[in-house]
Amino acid sequence: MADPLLETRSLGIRLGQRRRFLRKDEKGFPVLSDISFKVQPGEILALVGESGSGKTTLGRAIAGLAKIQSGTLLFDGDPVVEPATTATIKTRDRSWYRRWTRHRKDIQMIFQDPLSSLNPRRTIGQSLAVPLRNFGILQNAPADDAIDALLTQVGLTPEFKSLYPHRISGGQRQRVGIARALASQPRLIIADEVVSGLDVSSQARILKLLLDLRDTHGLSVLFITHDLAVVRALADRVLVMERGKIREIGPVDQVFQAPKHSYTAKLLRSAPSPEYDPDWLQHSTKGPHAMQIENSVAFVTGANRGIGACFVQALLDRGAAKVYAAARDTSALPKDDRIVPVALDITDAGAVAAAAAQAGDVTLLINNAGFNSNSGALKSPAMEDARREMDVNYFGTLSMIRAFAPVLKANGGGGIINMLSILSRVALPMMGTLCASKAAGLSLTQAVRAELKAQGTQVFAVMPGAVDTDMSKDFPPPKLDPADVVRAALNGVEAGDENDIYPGDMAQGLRAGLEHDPKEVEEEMSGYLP
Amino acid sequence: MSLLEVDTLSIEVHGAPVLRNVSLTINAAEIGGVVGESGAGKSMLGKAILGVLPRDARITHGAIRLDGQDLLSLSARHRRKLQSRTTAFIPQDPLTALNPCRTIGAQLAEVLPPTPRAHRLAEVIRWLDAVRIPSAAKVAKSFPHELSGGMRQRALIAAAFASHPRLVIADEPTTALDATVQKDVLRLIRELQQDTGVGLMFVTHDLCVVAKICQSVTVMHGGRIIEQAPCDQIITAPRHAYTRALLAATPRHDETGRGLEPIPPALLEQLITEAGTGNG
Ligand SMILES: NC(=O)c1ccc[n+]([C@@H]2O[C@H](COP(=O)([O-])OP(=O)(O)OC[C@H]3O[C@@H](n4cnc5c(N)ncnc54)[C@H](OP(=O)(O)O)[C@@H]3O)[C@@H](O)[C@H]2O)c1
Ligand SMILES: Nc1ncnc2c1ncn2[C@@H]1O[C@H](COP(=O)(O)OP(=O)(O)OP(=O)(O)O)[C@@H](O)[C@H]1O
Ligand SMILES: [Mg+2]
Repeated sequence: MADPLLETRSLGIRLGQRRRFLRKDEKGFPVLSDISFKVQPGEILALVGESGSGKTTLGRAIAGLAKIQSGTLLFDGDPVVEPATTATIKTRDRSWYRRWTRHRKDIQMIFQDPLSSLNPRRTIGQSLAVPLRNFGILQNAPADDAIDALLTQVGLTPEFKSLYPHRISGGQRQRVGIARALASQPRLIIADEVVSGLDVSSQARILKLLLDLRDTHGLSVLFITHDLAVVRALADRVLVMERGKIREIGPVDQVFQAPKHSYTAKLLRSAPSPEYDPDWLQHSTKGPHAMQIENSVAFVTGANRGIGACFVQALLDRGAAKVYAAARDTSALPKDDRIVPVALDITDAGAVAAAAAQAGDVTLLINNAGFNSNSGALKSPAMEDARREMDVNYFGTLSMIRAFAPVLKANGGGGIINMLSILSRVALPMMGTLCASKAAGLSLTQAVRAELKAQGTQVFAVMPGAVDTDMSKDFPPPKLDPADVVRAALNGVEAGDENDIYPGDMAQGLRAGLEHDPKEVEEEMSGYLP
Repeated sequence: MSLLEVDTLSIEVHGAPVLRNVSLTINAAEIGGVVGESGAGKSMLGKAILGVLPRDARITHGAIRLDGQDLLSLSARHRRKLQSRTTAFIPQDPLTALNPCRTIGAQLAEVLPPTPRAHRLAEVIRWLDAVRIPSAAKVAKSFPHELSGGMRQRALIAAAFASHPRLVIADEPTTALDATVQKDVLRLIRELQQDTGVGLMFVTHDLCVVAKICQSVTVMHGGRIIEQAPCDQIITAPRHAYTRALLAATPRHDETGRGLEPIPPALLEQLITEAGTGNG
């Protein structure tokens, strides 16, 4: 194989203001990490992924428009970015910029809406003349000829020279954008959503144009899009991104016929094709862990207040057949035909066994009851508090699972939702004992998940950040609304894409942070001392 | 009687025809697709129905009836009042359609039918939840720029249906979304539409989406209707060469080598000649 035109090795990019858990600092938070791929000369590589997964950022970074903090970027074998230099790189840093200018002519980016990137006061001819002059392409040829040639190349007529950008259609504008990018005779074009919003005919013309340029000039293209059909029509290989990581990369036919990653599979399941099918929307796009809430029989612990009370209400709203609402004190439970109050302290083994015997029709167990001493590990009464946390959060949950696993099995498998916390995955100073009990809960969840698979029981972990309930009343905002936590949990269970559910930005951010760099998250959390 | 009847509508801008003799009906609980290339007059048709034509556009012929009521015979004020209750619009670009200075919740509360103040927030959250917005309670308190594109689009869909309209006009509501979100949003539109029985005019150039959710389809070019038929016929047995060309230009994710053929120029020329001689 030829030498790659572009190669990235473990590229990492941080952007914006990093949240230091609750505060902010200037270091930025990781948007992309561990990005390694190659683009061959004359290759069209498509980049797909969910909104916010970092596609545009990656494109901009390669074009020299966003700073890169780690890794290596080689263009045509020349290390433009290397580990030794990355630490000091800033967008406005001139020494860094010079490294890029060597290749600026060779790498051009085209944006989704050329209207915003074309100067409205310049005619199209004037706009095209700028790069021609800047990159010294003109030599001795008169500018007009070069501009005519560019316009013809993208399938427009020379008359377009004298028009202003707002006077032409979207598809034509997009071609002007391409003509401008071609002016410097680049070897790599980064095209970000250049055909979205165009009708199929204009789209086909642009796709054909890119293929022609590839065939005649050996142009390479990094084609960013969310349209899988366009990827199939155009690209040689496809790179799938999710949460700033490469999930899958390979030849388009191969990836689309046999996707390896669950996210790619999900994307493909949802893409429509032009066949008449009035039932298509009903075809399930549900993931492998999906469970139905409607007509389920649920058992909720700690149902008298906080998140538990919200669970009870939401289950009824979603059509659960019956909800056993378990609480130590049942007096505060709402009255409803479908609610069965159960007096239960989950640390009382006898009571747990009795509850399982009473509720023999349960299909969904929600282990929500929890205790947080809100005291530091090293404080004097902490041993009792720490034991109590373990007793409720870990042993209580364990005895519930043991008692109800046979019930769920008898009812066809069903599911278990364990209300854990993002603190199951990261430790917060002054809450170490709670974190330990919640981490124990996560370990237990993972083991039980594997063990109960054979009987068809789905086991979910729900790991929110801080929630606005009695438990966190001294915790500073922002806090999640408990109803939003329950919604995220039940939506996640019904969609079934993943069995770990992270409600809210704080949990999502920490989860992404853990994927990028766990040690850094630990350091961030250690900075949180009230 | 159909919910919406557009009857031989013709519109000119500065004397140049932009819609010629366009007729179309949409029934309650029906999704009618309107497809065609850019410049076909799809958006102009939508604007005419909504009563928001640009100043220099003039209706030269035809009628628009909603529930039998002739909209063009109403005074501007009367029409606005009627349509603010009966017609809703889901635009293509969610950012410009939302007021940047007011929270999503406040903007949704505004379009609700009269609701006691105490229930308004709950109702807003119910709608945000209905469009599967995570953290609905928090989003209600957020401003538009704090949400992602997909999220804003869903908020607009919620706003369109929350006003309990009879007719919704959606202009490319899902082009900016990735496949998974698009399918969620389409499913949602269809569920809401079936629950409430509203008629939906779905303006798009994506035939893949049309094939999956529309019951009837109108194909337009150059301000004229080229073909109009039930969806299965348009997709599986299109009569007109132009409809066939549109389908041929549609790429697909499950087949290689499709979607690289633009509409043949000869066909477009033929359409223009036909229009000139008044055929079709
Ligand atoms: N709030 C947060 O910031 C947050 C964040 C992440 C995860 N979580 C988790 O979410 C779950 C619910 O918390 P929440 O915020 O709703 O807290 P909460 O308002 O303090 O409610 C805790 C619930 O657990 C019950 N409970 C405690 N010990 C029990 C026992 N031994 N037997 C039976 N029930 C017992 C309580 O009952 P009593 O009324 O009888 O005490 C109460 O119903 C917990 O597992 C918690 O760890 C909370
Ligand atoms: N200037 C910035 N400051 C802070 N965060 C940013 C900035 N620009 C982007 N981000 C964040 O970086 C992540 C990646 O953004 P990016 O625009 O690359 O996504 P994308 O994959 O192109 O999404 P889309 O499909 O919606 O265009 C997002 O979480 C975004 O919120
Ligand atoms: Mg982008």
